[in-house]
Parts: sequence; C-alpha cells; structure tokens
Amino acid sequence: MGEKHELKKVFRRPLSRRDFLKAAGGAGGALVLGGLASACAPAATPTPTTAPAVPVAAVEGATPEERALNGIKALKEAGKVKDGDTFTIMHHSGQRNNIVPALEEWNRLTGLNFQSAEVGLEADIYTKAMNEAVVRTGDYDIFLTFCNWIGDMAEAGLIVDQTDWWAKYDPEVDHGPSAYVAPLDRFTSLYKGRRYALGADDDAFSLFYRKDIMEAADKAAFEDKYGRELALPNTWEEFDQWIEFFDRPEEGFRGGHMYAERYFAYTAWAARFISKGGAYFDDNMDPLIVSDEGVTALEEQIRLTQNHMFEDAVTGDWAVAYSRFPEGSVFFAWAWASLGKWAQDPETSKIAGKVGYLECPGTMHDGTLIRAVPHVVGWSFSVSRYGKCPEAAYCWAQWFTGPTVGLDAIARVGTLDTFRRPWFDDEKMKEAYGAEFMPILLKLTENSFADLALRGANEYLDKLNLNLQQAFAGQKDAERALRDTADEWQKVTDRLGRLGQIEAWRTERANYPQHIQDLWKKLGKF
Amino acid sequence: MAIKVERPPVAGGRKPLFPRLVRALNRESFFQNVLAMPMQLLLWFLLIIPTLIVLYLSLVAWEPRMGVDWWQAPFAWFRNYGHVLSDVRFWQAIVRTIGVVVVAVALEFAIGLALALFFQRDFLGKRLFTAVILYPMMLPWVVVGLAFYLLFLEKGLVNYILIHFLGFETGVAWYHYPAVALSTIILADVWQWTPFMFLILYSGLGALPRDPVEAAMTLGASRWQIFRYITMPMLKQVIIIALIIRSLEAFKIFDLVFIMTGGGPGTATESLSLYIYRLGFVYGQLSYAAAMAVLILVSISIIIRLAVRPLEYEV
Amino acid sequence: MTLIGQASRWLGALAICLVILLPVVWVLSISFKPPQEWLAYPPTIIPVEPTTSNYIVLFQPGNPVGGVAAMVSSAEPVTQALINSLIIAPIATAASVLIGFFAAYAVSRYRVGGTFMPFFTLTTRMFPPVAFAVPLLVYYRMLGLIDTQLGLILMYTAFTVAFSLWMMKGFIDGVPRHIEEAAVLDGASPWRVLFTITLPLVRGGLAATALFVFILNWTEFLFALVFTSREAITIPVQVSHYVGAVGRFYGPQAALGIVASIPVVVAGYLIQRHLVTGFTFGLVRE
Repeated sequence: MGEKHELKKVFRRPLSRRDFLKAAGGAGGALVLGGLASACAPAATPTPTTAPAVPVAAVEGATPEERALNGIKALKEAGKVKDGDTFTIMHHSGQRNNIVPALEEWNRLTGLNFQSAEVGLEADIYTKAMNEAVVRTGDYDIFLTFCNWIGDMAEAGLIVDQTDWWAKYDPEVDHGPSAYVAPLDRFTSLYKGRRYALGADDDAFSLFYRKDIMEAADKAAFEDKYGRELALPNTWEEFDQWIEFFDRPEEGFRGGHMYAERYFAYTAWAARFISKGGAYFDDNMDPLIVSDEGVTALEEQIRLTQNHMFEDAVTGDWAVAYSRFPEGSVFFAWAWASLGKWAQDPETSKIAGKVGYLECPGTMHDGTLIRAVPHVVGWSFSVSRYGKCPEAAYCWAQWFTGPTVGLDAIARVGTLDTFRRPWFDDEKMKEAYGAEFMPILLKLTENSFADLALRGANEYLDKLNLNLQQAFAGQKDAERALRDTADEWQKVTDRLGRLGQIEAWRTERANYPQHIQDLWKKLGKF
Repeated sequence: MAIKVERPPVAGGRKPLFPRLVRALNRESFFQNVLAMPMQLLLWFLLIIPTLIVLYLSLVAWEPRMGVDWWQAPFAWFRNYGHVLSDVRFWQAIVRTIGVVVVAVALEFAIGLALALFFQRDFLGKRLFTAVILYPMMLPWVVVGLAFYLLFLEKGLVNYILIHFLGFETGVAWYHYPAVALSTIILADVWQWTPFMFLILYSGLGALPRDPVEAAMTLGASRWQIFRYITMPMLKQVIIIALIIRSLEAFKIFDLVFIMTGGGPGTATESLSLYIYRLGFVYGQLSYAAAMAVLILVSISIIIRLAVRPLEYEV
Repeated sequence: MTLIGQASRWLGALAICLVILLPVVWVLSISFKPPQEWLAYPPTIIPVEPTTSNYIVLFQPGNPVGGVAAMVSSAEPVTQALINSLIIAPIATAASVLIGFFAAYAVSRYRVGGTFMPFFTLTTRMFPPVAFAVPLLVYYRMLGLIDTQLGLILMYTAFTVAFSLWMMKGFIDGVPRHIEEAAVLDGASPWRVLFTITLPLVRGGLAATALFVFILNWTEFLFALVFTSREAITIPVQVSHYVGAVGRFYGPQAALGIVASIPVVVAGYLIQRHLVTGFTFGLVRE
C-alpha cells in the first residue's frame, strides 16, 4: 500500500471521525498532511491547549543544574509550586540507588518534596504509565521509561512536549562541552521531531570477550583454519569464525552468549541487519525486513545461536548473561554496559582482569566498514501532563541529568549508564567500568541506533521477538519468521493509522547515525 | 406442621426490649434475605460498573495511545469479537490452556485425594506433616515461579541431579521444547496447588458422618467398596466444588508461565491469560482484550453451568 | 493401630514431605546464599558461604547484598508492605468468609437467589483479571480508592467471596437439616440456629475456607501492582522490587518469600485443629 494510495484515500472521502482519530491521535488533520510533506514538521501534541506556552527565553544560570534550581525559584515566586509540594517519580527498582540520594539533595535545595515510586518489572512501568494515561490520577509527576515508549505515551496524551522547556532551560543535551554523545542526544528524546523526554542513560549494547583465552590461543591453528591472523573481528564474517574457534562444547565452554530469548532476541539480529544496510521500514511503513539483509542476518545469527551457545541464550531471561560470562563459561558476551562493571569486579566475577572489550563488528560496503550498534532500552525522563506542576517536574529531570549532579548519580550502582561526553574521561567512571572499556563504549555509543520508537513500539518489538525466538529455537526458518513478523507489523501499522506512523518513522530514521543514513542513501533506500 | 406456640423470647428468659423488632428480625423471609444481602451489595457495588465498562470497551475500537478517551472512541460493534474468533494465537492459547487445566487439575485431584485419605488415620507427627504439605501454596507466586525457573534452568539443580546422580549424558533443555516446557509449568502448578485439593478433601473427609461407614463395615464391606459406594458419593459435593474452583484458577494460569518461559519459545507455551496480558498491557489493545474476555466469560459460564447442575439436584 | 502400621505411615508421610520440600529447601537455600552462588553451577543445596545479608537488606536497605558492592538493593524496607499486607489480607479474608458464609447459608437452606445467584458470583473468578483491571481502575478513580488499603480490601473481598460462598455451601449442605429443625422446634430463632448450631458444625470447613482465601489475598499480585503506587503496596509487589542492573536479586526475593510465608504458616498451624473436626462432634452420636 503506497503513500500515494493512502493520500488519495484520505483526500477522496471526507475525513471521518475515525480516520481523523486514527491518523492524528487528536491533532489537526491538516497538520498530519503537512507532516507528511516535510518529515521534520513539528508534530502536534494530542491536546495542544495544555502544552506549555512559555516565552522562549533562557533562564539565568551557568549550568543546567543552576538553571533548573532557578526555574524552581521562579515557579515558586509565580505561585505555581510551594515548599513541601509532593512530586512522585515512577522508576524502575534498579535505579533507586541512582535516584534516591539525589532526591534527598534536591529536596534540600528546593524545599519541595520529591519522592520515588518504584516498579520492579520493566514492563510494568509501561503498564502503569499507560494506565495513568487512562485514569489520570495525577499520582505521578515524572516517568523514567524506555525511550522507545515515548511515542505511545505522547500519543496517549500522557506526557508533555518538552521542546519549549529545552529552549527555556537548556539542558545542554545536543551542544556545548558536556553534550550527550551523539546520536544519544537525538533518539532518547525525540518523537515526531519534538522533545518528549530527557535521556538519562546509555544502553549501547557492549561486547565483552575473554582476553586471557584469546592471548593463550593457538594462533597457528586459527590461521590454518581461516587463512588469516587471529585478531579481534571487524566484520560479522570474522566474528562468526572467531566465536566458532573459541567454542569448546566438550569442555562445557561455549563460544558466546547473545540474547535469543523472549524479550531481547532482536538485538543481535538487528545489529547485523542494519549494518548490512537494512532498515525496518520503507517510507510508506511497508516492512523491509523480509529482504536479503534481513534473512541473511537472521540465518547467520541462528547458526551462531544453535551451534555455539548454551541453550539458555534462547530460553533463559536476560540476566543469564550476567551469570554465564562472569562465571567463565562463555568466551564472548553481548549485553549492556553494566555487564562490564559486573565482570571486572573481583567480588562478583571469576574472570576479573581477564575481560577484553571490542567494537561491534560491521559489514563492508565498498571498502567502508559500517558498524551498527543496537541501543536497547535507554531510560529517559518524561513529564506527566496530569501532575501538579509539570514544569517543576521537568526541572528535576534537568537537574538530575546535569553534568555534575548526573555524574555522581550515574556513577552509583544502578541501571543507568554514563551518557555525557566528558564523563567518558572521568576517573570515577573509569574506575566503575574499567579504564579500557570507556573508549570502546564511547565508540559503540557513537555507532548506536535506537530501538523502534514509533507509536506501538512495544508491540512491534514484541512481535519481532516472538518470531525471532521461534527461529532461534528451530521452530521456524529465518524467512518465515521475518515474513510472519512483517505481516503482523502491517496489521499494527494499519490499526494505529498508517499516516501517523509514516510521519513518526520518517523522523525517527533521521536519528540513526549519519553513516547509516548515508549507506541507506547509497543503497537507494531513502 | 404449624407450630403455633408462645415461643419463649430469644435470649434466655428476658423480655426483649423491642419485641416487634425482634420478631421482624426473626421472620424467615427477612432472615434469609438479610443473609445474602452483604454479598449482593458488595458485588453489585464493586463490579457492576467495571463490568459495564468492559462490555462497552468490547464494542469500541480503542487503545489508550490513540489519544482519545475511552468513552469517545468510535464504535466497532462486533468487529472485535469477529477478530477474536479468527485469531489463531487465541485458539492456540485456548487449546493449550485447556490442556494444562485438564492435566494439572487431574493430577492435583488424584494426588490430593490420595494424601487426604492417607492422612485420615492418626500417626505420630501428623500435624507437622500436614503443615509441610500445605506449605507450597503459602509461598508468594513470584517466589514459586522463581524457584522452579531456577530449578529447571539448563545449569540448574534438576539437570545437575540428572547428570550426576541419574547418569544422563547431558541435561534436558527444559524450556526449549514446547511439550517439555509445558510439563515443567504443569509440574510447578501441581506442586503449588495440590495442597489446596488436599486441604479441601481432607476437611471434607473429616466432616463426613461416621455411621454409614461403620454400618457398612459391620455388614462386611471391603475398604474399596466403602470408599467407592459410601465415601465418594458423600464427598461428591466437595469434590465438584474443589474441581470447579481449581479449574477456574488454573484456567487463568499466568504467573508461572510468565516467569518460567515468558510464553516462549515464541508463543509455544503462551497461556490464555498471558496472551490477554500481552494484548492489554503490552500491545495496548484494551478493547480487543475486553472482547476476548467477554467471550471467555460467556463460554466458561456455559461450561461451569453444566458442571454445577449436578449440585442443584442434591440438597 | 499397630506399631508397624504407625511406622510405615510415618515413613510414607516423611517421603511425601521430602518430595514436597525439595523446592522449598531450594528457596530456603537461595535465601542464605551470597550473589555469586544464586546461579552457580554446580548448584549446592547448602550454601558454600552462607550469609544472612539477604534477610538483613529486607529491613535495612542500602546494605550491599552479600557484601558485594555492586549488589546494592535499595528498595524501601519491607516494613510498610508487611504492615499493609497484615492489614489487608486478614480483614479481606474475615469479610469474605463471613459474608460468604451467610450467603452460603441462605443459598443452601432457603435457595435465595435461586440457581442464578450462586452461579453469578462464580463469574467473578472466570474473568481474565487483566481485562478487568483497567475498567476497575477507572471506577476506583471515581471512588478515590486507588492506592488505599480500603480499596484493596474491598476488591479482595469481592474477588474471593465467590469461593467462600461455594466452599461454605458445600460444607453447609453436608449438615443434615433435621438438626436445625430440631432446634427450631425447641423454639430457637433462626439467628440462634445459625450461630449456635450450624456454625460450630461447619467450623472445619470455615477454617479451610479461611485459610484458602487468606492465601489468595496474601499472595495476590496483579491487582496489588496495578492499584498501588506507594502507600498500599503489598508483599508480593515488594518482592518484585528486588532487582538491579544485573537481574533479579534472587537472594532477597527468596528471603522475602520465606518471611512472607511465616504468617500463613502460623495461621495454617493454628487452624489445623479445626480442619479435621468437621461435625464429628455434634452430629454423629445422636
């Protein structure tokens, strides 16, 4: 179903209420069509009347933190908040240690009463946030969520467009000496070209291997077998050989642990798929995953999973990687940066000091190596429309993610990882993650691309995972798994309104790292 | 039989303060209605409005992320229901769930009954043993799920026992094959809920009058005959109720599946409740989930109605 | 019974209990293990380096689990969840069992509501809870009951009353009517019959019902999760809070599971005496 066809359909008959709702989520129909014409046109918030109408003028203060505090001061003077007002932050239990000490400090500085409401299962945060969108209790002021959920939350009218506040308070996300590492500055906050969230995390998937085993390996044997020197792999082909070489099932030692399980099975496949030049959708939201890139990527990954990994890469939960690798029973592991902290800590790991880091392998395109690193999760702050004073809540988020406060908060043990550029050189961080790891993590982040961040992202990804897990478990072949996914995606897209999704996808793909966008252009995709 | 007597006042010999009120309170029609009143009030008060909302939702096309309030959503009438009926994943989940219910509840019943009979006689430390048997259902579900998840991990205790004590070459990939994965889930469910069957049957057995049994014994009936022709018929009520209650709960099996396999690989072990959870809370299709729930409610109602029928002829 | 019969029975019971206990022992063992051992292979039943830190963090959050700095479990102390659960579950159970008992008596003796009413109550257990959660949430918002103990008490009472009704009906049906009729002929009021004749006769059933309903209320998770945010969280929700950047904290979760089961065990042990009595007391020897 082409875009033209869609457009015609919309023009031919008067917009029915249903079309209108489906396409625009409450916004003006004209705006939506306008959005089609230029991909980056500002999206309307669901109910524009309550969007923050602030004069675009910077608040005084030298740092984001100061401006946030001054903002609270001004809000107090304007009578919008007063001492002791209670604000509630919904966040994951794993972040309590990052957040709660900072909350106490913030409450001391502002006189407000910010408190935490934790949720134990990541998925339940989405559930509870979307429930809040329906019942509007006002019990929550800020949500710390996966950054790919902001599409749903924004369209449900739950969260406030922060773009004007960014102009007013300047959180120094995409400019200045302490900016976020690009492209984090874009995809953790943008939806349809507007800032709906403030990123507080870096979840570029990181690769770890056993340095000691590689150093002790029989280099001649490797050369004999593969016809090249044993070195860290740069391409996926080399990577597969590398894993194969170190896989020793008879010793109970496997080549790798890469997620093939129910919730993150897409990560390894997506890295290959995107680096081969694939894209999830074309500009009309028709899926492009049933393509050479998609099928080959999946076949490669299936081979790896079925031959060189423990069974529980497919059937365990994500935490299995956090026991397999540190206990020393796999050569390679691919997970969040926190695995690096965990694996190099002698208290928790049998392989402390033996961990090596590598960049994500890529695919050669005419002599250029294209790497693509999945960025998975990415916690970010969004502000509830139904809270007491959304602007004050935003100020907290800006203060917390600021260059100084954030550094302390993120360095504490928790699920949030470093995201501002200067922090990668900071001693505290180097100590937490391992000094060797920081430059690699920086490169990984620079090459990272976001999870699908459309409206319905959760649903798109779940259906992808479901089929991929079946493929990894040997229940479906690669092509069928991807074709089934594509069929289901089409249904989701049609249900949620293709026009709106097209707009969101076009703006989202502009958040991919530049070299991937260039590759797409070269391959004639967009 | 008209008992027209000057009844002595209710409480001892004292004359009641408000004789009329007391008489009114004691009138049977009043009495019986008052008894059922609290429950009816509670259920109507708490459930009628949400139920109406569910029904309404099932008739509209609505998801929270559409950005409209649920009461403003456009009507889809019976389209949601149509989609449910043609939803393959739904039917697979139904069949799978019914399978789990049948197997799990049958096992729980058999084991529970055996245990209950076994514990009818007194022996040393019986109270302690009873407490142990009841223990599994006292643990929070999350913990039961986690315990079994860890037990059946590829590098878990069960595989360790298989390899090192029972001479298996390798462990079993418990969660990999749909049938095996389902069996582990059923096993966990049986472990957790057999105590419930035991509890009901045990107290049911204990409550049976002894005379018929003793009479039969003097007439020289065998143990099996007593069990088959005297105990079981007297216990029928309790058995049917226990089976109904347990089946209803097992039909909603969610926790164990969610923790142990997440419904995977793919949807191979997805139970109906898990699918509805995904629909409602992950995919955000609340009105579709509502339609599915209504359909399920209606069909279970019919089945349970038939199951309950024998109870009505009894008393 | 003979001594040999005693012994064989005892051994049989022991064997059964061992099978049942295996997963329990496993949970217990994890609750005393430091983080490195939770998923360790080969697994050990007896912790290599036993620790009580899993229990300590429940009450003193901020302590690293097992002394591992990266395992700071900083969830709120369980105190509040424990208090909430200790208020919500018993009250809801008492309400459910009492209300259910009265209704069961009316149904059993007077056929109140015909065949429809008891059946209708069962539908409250047939509905997939997820589909019901959001509509109920909408309603609770109107009533202002979200995140309150009262809200959960009402809900739990309503959702378990069907079981109370049906289980109690089963037990009341088993009480021969002629006992009650005799009392009526003696001039007792229906209330008196209910409380002094029927109730004592079914107290075993009442105990079994109460225990079962209490367990349901005590371990309920989904509604507790959806309907609370800070004030009214219960133990099962609290259990889910023990997670970190490296996955679930199995140790504290297991520890809290063990702690949470203590009140149920105590309750179960206390009422066990009543489970067996049934009406062997009042009835048989007439």
